[in-house]
Amino acid sequence: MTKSLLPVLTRRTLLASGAAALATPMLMRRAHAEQSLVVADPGGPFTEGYRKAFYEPFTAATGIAINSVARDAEPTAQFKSIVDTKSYIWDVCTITLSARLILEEQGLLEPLNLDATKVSDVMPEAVHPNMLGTDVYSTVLAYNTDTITEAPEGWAAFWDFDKLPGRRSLRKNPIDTLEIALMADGVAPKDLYPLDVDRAFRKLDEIKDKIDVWWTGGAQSTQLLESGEVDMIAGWNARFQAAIDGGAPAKIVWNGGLYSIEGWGVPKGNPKADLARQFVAFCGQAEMQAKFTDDLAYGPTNLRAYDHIEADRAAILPTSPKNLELMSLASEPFWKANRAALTERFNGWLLD
Amino acid sequence: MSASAVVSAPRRFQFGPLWLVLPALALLAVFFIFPLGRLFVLGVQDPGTGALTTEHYARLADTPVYWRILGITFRIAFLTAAFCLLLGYPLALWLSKMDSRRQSLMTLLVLLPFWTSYLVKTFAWMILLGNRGVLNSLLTDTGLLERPMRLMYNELGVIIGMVHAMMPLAVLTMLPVMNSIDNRLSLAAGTMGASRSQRFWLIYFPLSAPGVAAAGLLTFITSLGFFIVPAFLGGRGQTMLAQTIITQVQELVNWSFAAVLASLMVAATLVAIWIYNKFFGLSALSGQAPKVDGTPRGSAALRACGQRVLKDLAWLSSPFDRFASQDPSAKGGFSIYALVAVIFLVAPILVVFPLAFTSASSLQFPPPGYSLRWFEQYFSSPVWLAATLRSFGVAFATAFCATVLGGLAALALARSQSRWNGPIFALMLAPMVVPRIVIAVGLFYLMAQIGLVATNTGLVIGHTLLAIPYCFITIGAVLKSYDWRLNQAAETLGAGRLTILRRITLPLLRGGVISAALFAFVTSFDELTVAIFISGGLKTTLPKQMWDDMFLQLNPTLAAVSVVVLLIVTVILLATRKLQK
Amino acid sequence: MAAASQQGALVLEGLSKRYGTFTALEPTSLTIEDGEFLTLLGPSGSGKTTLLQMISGLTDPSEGRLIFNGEDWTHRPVNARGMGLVFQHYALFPHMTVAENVAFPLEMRKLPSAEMKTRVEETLRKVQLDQFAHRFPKELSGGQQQRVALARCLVFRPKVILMDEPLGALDKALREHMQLEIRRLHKEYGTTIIYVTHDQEEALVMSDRICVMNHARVEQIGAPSQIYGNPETLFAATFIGHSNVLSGEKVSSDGDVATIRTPFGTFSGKHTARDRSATDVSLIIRPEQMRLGSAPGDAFDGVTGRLTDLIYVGAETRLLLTLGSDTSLTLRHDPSAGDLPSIGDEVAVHWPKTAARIVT
Repeated sequence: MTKSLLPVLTRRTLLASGAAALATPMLMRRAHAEQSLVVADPGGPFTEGYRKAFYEPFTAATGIAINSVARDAEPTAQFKSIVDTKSYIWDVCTITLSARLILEEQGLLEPLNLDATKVSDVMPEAVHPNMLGTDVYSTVLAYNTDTITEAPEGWAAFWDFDKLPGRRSLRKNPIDTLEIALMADGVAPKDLYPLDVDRAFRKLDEIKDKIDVWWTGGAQSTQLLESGEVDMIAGWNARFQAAIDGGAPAKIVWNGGLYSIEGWGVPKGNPKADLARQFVAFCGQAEMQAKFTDDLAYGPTNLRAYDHIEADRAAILPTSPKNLELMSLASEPFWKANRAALTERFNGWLLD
Repeated sequence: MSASAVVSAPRRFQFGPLWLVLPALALLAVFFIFPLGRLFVLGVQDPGTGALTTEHYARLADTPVYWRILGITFRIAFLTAAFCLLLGYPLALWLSKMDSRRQSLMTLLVLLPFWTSYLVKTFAWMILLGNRGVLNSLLTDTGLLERPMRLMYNELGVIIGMVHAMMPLAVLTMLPVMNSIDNRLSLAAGTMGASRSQRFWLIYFPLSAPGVAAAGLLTFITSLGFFIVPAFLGGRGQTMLAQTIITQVQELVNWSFAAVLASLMVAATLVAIWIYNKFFGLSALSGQAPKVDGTPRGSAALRACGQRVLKDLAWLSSPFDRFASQDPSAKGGFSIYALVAVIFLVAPILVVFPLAFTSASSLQFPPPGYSLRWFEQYFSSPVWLAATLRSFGVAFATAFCATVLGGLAALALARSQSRWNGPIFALMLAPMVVPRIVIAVGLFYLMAQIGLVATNTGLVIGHTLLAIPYCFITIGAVLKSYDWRLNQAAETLGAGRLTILRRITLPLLRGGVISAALFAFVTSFDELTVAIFISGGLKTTLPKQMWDDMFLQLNPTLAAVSVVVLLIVTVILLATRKLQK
Repeated sequence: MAAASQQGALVLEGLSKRYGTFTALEPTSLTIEDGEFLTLLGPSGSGKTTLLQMISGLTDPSEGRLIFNGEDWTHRPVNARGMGLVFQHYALFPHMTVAENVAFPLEMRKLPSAEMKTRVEETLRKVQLDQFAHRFPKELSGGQQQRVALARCLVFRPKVILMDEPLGALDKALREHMQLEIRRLHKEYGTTIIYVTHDQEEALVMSDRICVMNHARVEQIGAPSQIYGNPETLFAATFIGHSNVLSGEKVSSDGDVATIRTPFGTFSGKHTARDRSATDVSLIIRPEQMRLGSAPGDAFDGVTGRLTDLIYVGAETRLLLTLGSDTSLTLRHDPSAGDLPSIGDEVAVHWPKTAARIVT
């Protein structure tokens, strides 16, 4: 630091600016204390997509301001803390189907009282008493078109190193990975559940040592495909689409995909529950849902949204009819019952 | 006059010096000891009824995977500590031979990676070590390698990342001990006929051993709690205990089992500390060489054994004596090694610079072109800016609280001769040696119940907890050389206690207090573990935001943020150096 | 009791200090008059610094009272006593300049800055440091630092100045110079000075009275000439000046004169022992009182010993005699007074009985 700066940065001014920095968010909140909602989304591109699709239109329609914040990767523990201490740091939060089951069991979700007529166009799997699914994500296969010239047809191809040599990556998590192994072994998507776990692990044994990367974070899967670190990878479609949009030579295989749903939930006892319900119901509309597809490669749950989406874009979305028919819904009840045990077994298997 | 006539007037009321430690003790009691205790209890409680149960521990005993993870955690932590010592010792030796001006400058270079966020470091290694990463491209392009080497997503990657993260800590712990070794001792041994290798192994090395042991312990214990590096640089075999604890808390919401695993980690740490204390004594942890005149620790047999080994080492290395130049601070090979080590420490961080200025939206290296778009993105993003501002605010508050509390505690212990000094000293250091992940989980459990999660207060408390030991040690060290008669002098000249503190003590301790505040500031500014649990929502800190982004969207914004953070930390380090003079 | 002493006197009543079972100072009573220069003299560990610290207030006494000017000051806070204390290693504030150091006590007394300035300048001139006002302590020599410490003490004109071995770190020449300097300043300011030293020569040069201390207690208090001429204890006799000591048993005493039987004969001398009833006593003869040759008459006593060494020290030659196996005597020989015996010779020495003292 140069000398001339020193007198400016005296201790007192530093302290003052520190205090100001601490106080700012509080002031922000107070300004919005009336008629505002704090909404927790996964952050990153979601914030951008949701802002256009939901936040801005909702504010325009109702005058209720929306403050968006990033939620935790796994918000279940946060939900519990919020409800237990009644410190509602946010009013609405995105949750997955599996999180919904856990939260419902622990009584941490506020009922949404959705008007059935207003959500009639929404996929039935997305409508629950305490959650409204707004987007569909899917675990799919993606490959590098530079190194793999022959398109893999399904999960069996992932196992076929003779025909398709190259570096592979799977998620370091049993969820979806076990299903993938069973489908590669010839199990039809509709016969997956309850999973034949032993068979799945036997199948995984075949390629265990040939997997180069076990990825942990979604962003990592994007980077793996984008940088050419691996040639074939199983992961979430939007992550791969991000790489493709960024110019990576890659394609997605929808066949054998496993989709699931993410949507809004409201923490139990929230004093702003009514505003929150209003917001959630608003997000069920087709027009609104269509708007986030510009930024996010997720499928709208309201299938009428495709009326507002261009065909090019629709082709890369999980719920476009052509893609949806190739895929099946992952079973959340199965995973809720078996997650802890299978995670333990999977981790043990990895270390063997 | 008769003796009975001699009556003392009533004593004037006086605060014993130990009172000053109370604020720090109170904080530690409420937010450190209590949550840890609560965590241990959770591990033996039925979550429904609250009755005592051994079921969670039974589950641990029955599930071999956790023992294997514990084994892996130990192995990685041990390898990290071993390599840190092996690679860090010569570097510290090299630094200790410099004159103090050059030394402080070079130490700054070693410090820079120390103060760089783990996230930035890990991020840099991901770019460097990939199959198509910078190193492999370099090696294959120049024809040195035919095919890329597997440098990450395996144990090698984890060890590289962790040694890089921990080596500065090892060097900084060993350096003060080495600096305090009297150089004339080796010369004296020379006049008595000791060869170069004998002088090193029989004189210098044993004297530096306390520093080596302290460095080994600190790196080992800190490594036990790692989760960032194994998550991003590890393969299927590198799962560490901290990752499992996070999974239990955040994904499976199984507090009981998380508590069991956390207790396991604390137990492992305590065993390591116990072994260390047996041989070296805890006081060496604070960077002070232990008293030489004290009774030697460890049994006589062990000492004899150690000396035997050192003699053998001296004998083994003696053939190399003639290759070495006469000058003990030899240039040549030694300096080259040190330079390579410094490059190893600093260079990876510099990789993020070109990436921050890339024109591409991917992390392609080298960048296809240069632009400022990612900085624009950063500076126009309210989320990033709010997180940065919050981190600054929290860090300032933490620096203030930790310096005051830690400083008062150091003052208390320096002035008191109570028998409580020992336990208090150990307690003040405890937040440094208990793995952060355990502290964070315990804090989260407590703060979730009292509504401090995702509040600035909660963050400041958590960070102050982590920073107090550093402040305590730093201010304690300057107090050791403080001349207390100056206080008496001021008192006889008519100054009251507050005036003495303001006019004499504080100005003289300035260097130490500034260092302490800086330590606390950067500790907080860079802190992720507690932030993962305690921050969130509107109160996201910068490292937490970066962490979320590493899962959400790995793009050059992260590099741009890293550069900004790096510059801020560098400016603070340099400014502090100026202020300390 | 306090009324018995004059204005401005410092009275110690049974002041003592114990740390657990360790006694740093036995109960001590003594009165220091206004304007007096009192030296506490003794080896390290004799309790002199403890006594000084209790007077200054830096240490609380275990028992006893301290009375100043008729008021009980036993537990008065240090900064309210207004006593000056010059530390052994000066304790100058390293982050303040010489002028700032000297101004510090005035600042504490909230003097107007103009007056402060003149007082500082004046005091610095007095200790010949006006040239160095803007230097930092570490830029000064030991002697200069010492003078700063003195100036910092004098500047606020304390009624009592306490000095804890203030010259201990200086070399001999500088020390002697500063001794005279302090004496001069003492006379000029008329301050009471309590001065701690282990250097007997320094004590003799400077003091109005010397308080000899040993083993946490006062051995003897008195004017330098009185302590030198009439020591009460063996310790006082040997700690101040050289003494020849012949130990033995008291056989008789009559008023001021006593007789002692030693292995080398029976001698008499002035009975100055503090404890008159003691029978284990010693005969003290100062080296300058001894002469070569047999006793010339009844007024003298004498012994015979073997000359073991001759030491030439310029103005005189010292002769070392051995009596028996473990007693030795020193005497001073004026080179102009005659021929010296040779080493190994049997030599007779004598001294006037009036010069001998019998002490415990």
